[in-house]
Formats: sequence, structure tokens, C-alpha cells
Amino acid sequence: MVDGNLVEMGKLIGAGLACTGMGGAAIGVGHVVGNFLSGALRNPSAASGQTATMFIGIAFAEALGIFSFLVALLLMYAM
Amino acid sequence: MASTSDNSAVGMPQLDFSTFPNQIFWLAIFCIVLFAIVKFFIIPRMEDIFANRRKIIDGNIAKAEEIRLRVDEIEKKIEEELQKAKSQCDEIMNTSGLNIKEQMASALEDSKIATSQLISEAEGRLKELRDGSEIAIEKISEELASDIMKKITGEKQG
Amino acid sequence: MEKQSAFNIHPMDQFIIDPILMGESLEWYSFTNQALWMLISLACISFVFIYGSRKHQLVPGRLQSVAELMYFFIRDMIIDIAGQEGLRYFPYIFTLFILILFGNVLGLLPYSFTYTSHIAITGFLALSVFITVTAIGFIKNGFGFLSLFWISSAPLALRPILLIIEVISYFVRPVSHSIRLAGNMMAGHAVIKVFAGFAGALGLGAVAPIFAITAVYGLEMLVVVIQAYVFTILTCVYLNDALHPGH
Repeated sequence: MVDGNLVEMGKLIGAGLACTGMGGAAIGVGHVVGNFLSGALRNPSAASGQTATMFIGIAFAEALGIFSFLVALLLMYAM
Repeated sequence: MASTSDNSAVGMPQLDFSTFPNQIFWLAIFCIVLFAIVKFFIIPRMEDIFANRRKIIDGNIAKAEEIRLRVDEIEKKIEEELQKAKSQCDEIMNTSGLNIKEQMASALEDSKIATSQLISEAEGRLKELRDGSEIAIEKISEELASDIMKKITGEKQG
Repeated sequence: MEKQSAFNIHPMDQFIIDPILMGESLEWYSFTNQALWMLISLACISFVFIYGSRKHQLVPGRLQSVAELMYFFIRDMIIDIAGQEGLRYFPYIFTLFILILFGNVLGLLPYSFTYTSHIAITGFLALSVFITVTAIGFIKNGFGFLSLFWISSAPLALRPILLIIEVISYFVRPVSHSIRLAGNMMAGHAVIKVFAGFAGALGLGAVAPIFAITAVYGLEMLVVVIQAYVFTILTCVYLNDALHPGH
């Protein structure tokens, strides 16, 4: 990168840090799917009716990770 | 758009706001055309296919129901016929048994009569024979006696 | 940012919008590569849905069964999530689904352009969903629609706090709705491009990145379909909120 540009460096470090928030989303999605799967293995006959609910849960868990991604993008390109 | 390197992307092309009016213009056209296609071509066609299939399936189900009813009817008829045949058979068996018994009884009677007749006839003849033999014995004995008498009284007399 | 590294990797180049007809400069009406791929996807949709089922077969052939599969998949999804009255909006939701699905899948072709990777496109779609759903909510329920934010099953003391949370999450919906799709598409394609750049730089050792590209490509096939599904199912959920705000 351009040397001596402290603001640029701060932005990029901030963007990198903001991306750690996506790890939280990953944990959340893992929880949703894992719990769905453990429930589905206990009662496989009820599982097929609940896959849509699982995807909605994934989408909501992922939404907050997307905000951290958005923050990273804003830091890198929009500020 | 393969990287011609002189115009490679600076930052994210997605955040280049100068392209937004163009994108939204084309997207709006695309959306309207696609919606028209969906509304006026795809949905009527799919519904038509689905309705056709439903109609044929319903028709088949109705036909199957009808055939099932007919089979039931036929089965009932067969059952009835079977019942009738059975009762007829029973009747025939009963009447024929009686007939046979009757015939046998009459035959027995006949044979009894015949044998009793035969027996009485034989008895009669036996009696006759016995009577006949008594007379013959008497005759023979008389002859014998006279012979003896002759012998005793002298031979000249005979 | 400057590109001075040894690797000649330009992962973002595939997203550049080029005016391919009508001159060099980008006007609001110029025909771009994006518009071209929209046209191609329109042709593919017509091929699958109109040419594929032109015979109205009772027992579907290959293309017709694909079309029927998508059609009844979306139909059942709407009935499951938004109920029977949601079927009124079936054309709208189905249009969204095939638009996104075909854009995503065609974007996986080499040298293609993924129009769903652009925030302008997904933002437009998400905003239109947001506005439509809000309008439907107010038309169907009047001001009763606002009971969506006032959760009567919660304790009274908590309700104002929940009101704030609900309002914020309601207005943030189009953001997450649009950036989820665009972000997934952009990230997947950029990752493939980065690995492709490694493969170009490594010479004979390019076997490893090519293997990685294959794996990522397989994953992308899955992601592409799931993102279209998620976009549609979230639209159904929002529609359900608008139709039955009480619960």
C-alpha cells in the first residue's frame, strides 16, 4: 500500500477487524444447522416439514454477519 | 471484459454509483418483460397442464370406482349363483337319497315276497314228495309183505 | 488501489460494467454486458418454460419436469409460509425466483457476467419487495399492520424496547436481503478468480489451485441455488408478516 498514509492503514485494519464479525455469523449458522440436524435425527419424519424454517433461521443468523461485512465494505471503499 | 489490464477494476465495481442508473434501467425493463412472460405464458401453461392432469387423474379414479362397483356386483351375483347351486345340489342329494331308499325298500319287499313264495312252493313240493314217498313206501312194503307171504305160503301161488 | 503485486490477479474485473454497443461511454441507456446477460437469462427462461413445455405433455419430458418442479416448488413454498391468500402474489414471487436463479446459475459459466452480484440490482429487488410488502400490509390491515411492531404477547414493560428493536429490524430488512445475495455471489466468484490467478502464476504447480477451483465451484453450485431459495423464502416470510401481522 501507499506508505505513510495512516488513514488508509486505519481503514484497512478496521475493515479487517469488522470482518471478524462474520465469524459470529458462521457460529450462528452452525448452531442453527447443528440443532436442526440433531432434532432431525431424533425424529426424521418431522424433519422434511421444517427445512424451510431452518433456512429462515439461517438467513436471520446470517443477516447480522452481513452487517459486519457491510461495515467492512464501507470502511474500505465508501469513507 | 477479460482483464484488458488498461481498464482493470479500481475498488469494487459494485460501488461505482455512476453505473446505477444504467443498471436499474435495464433491470426494470428485464423485470417487466419477465413478469409479462410469467403472467401471460408460464402460469396459464402450467395451470393448463396441471388442470389437464388433474382431470385425467380424476377421470381415471372415477372409472376405477365404477369398475370396482361393477366387480362387486358381479361378485355378489356369483355368490348368489353359488348359493343357489349349493341348495339345488342339497335338494337333489336329499331327494335321490329318499328315492334310493324307497327303491331299496321296495326291492327288499319284492325279494321277500319272492323268497317267501319260493319257500312255500318248495315246502309244498317237499310235502308232496314226502307224501308221495309215504305212499310208495306203503306200496313197497305191501308188495314186500305180499312177496314174503307168497314165499312163506308157497311158491305156487304167484 | 494499485496493482503492483507479482500475481496478476484482478478478482473484481469480472464485475465491471462495459458498454458493449453504442459507443464507449456509459450512459443510462447504453446496452451493457449486464443487459446482455439479462437478455441471455430471459432466453434461457423462455427455453425452459415455454419451449420445454410446448407440448403440454401429461407425462412430462425432461425440460417440462424441470419447469414443473420449479413452479410447484415455489407454489408449495408460498402456501406453506404465507397461506392460501399468498397465492395471489405468486406471479411476483415466481418472477423474482427465476430472475435470481437464472442470473446466479448463468453467472457460474466462465466469461459470463453475474448480474445478481451487483448491489444495485439486488438492492432494487429487495427495495421493491420491501415497498410492495409494506403497501400490501397497509392495504390489507389498515393501521392494524402496526401491531406487527407492538408485540402483545410480551410483558408490558418490555414492549417499548421490543418496539424499537422491531422497527429497526423491519427497516434493515432490505439491506440484509440485498447484501446477502450480492455478497454471496461476489465473494464466490472473486474466490474462484483469485485461485485462478494463483494457477496462472504457479506454472506446473497449478494442479493444487485448479483442484481448489473445482471444489469451490462445486460449493458455488450449491450456494447459487440456495441463495435464490433464501431470497424467495424471505420474501414469503415478509409477505406473511404483511398478510397476518398479529403473530
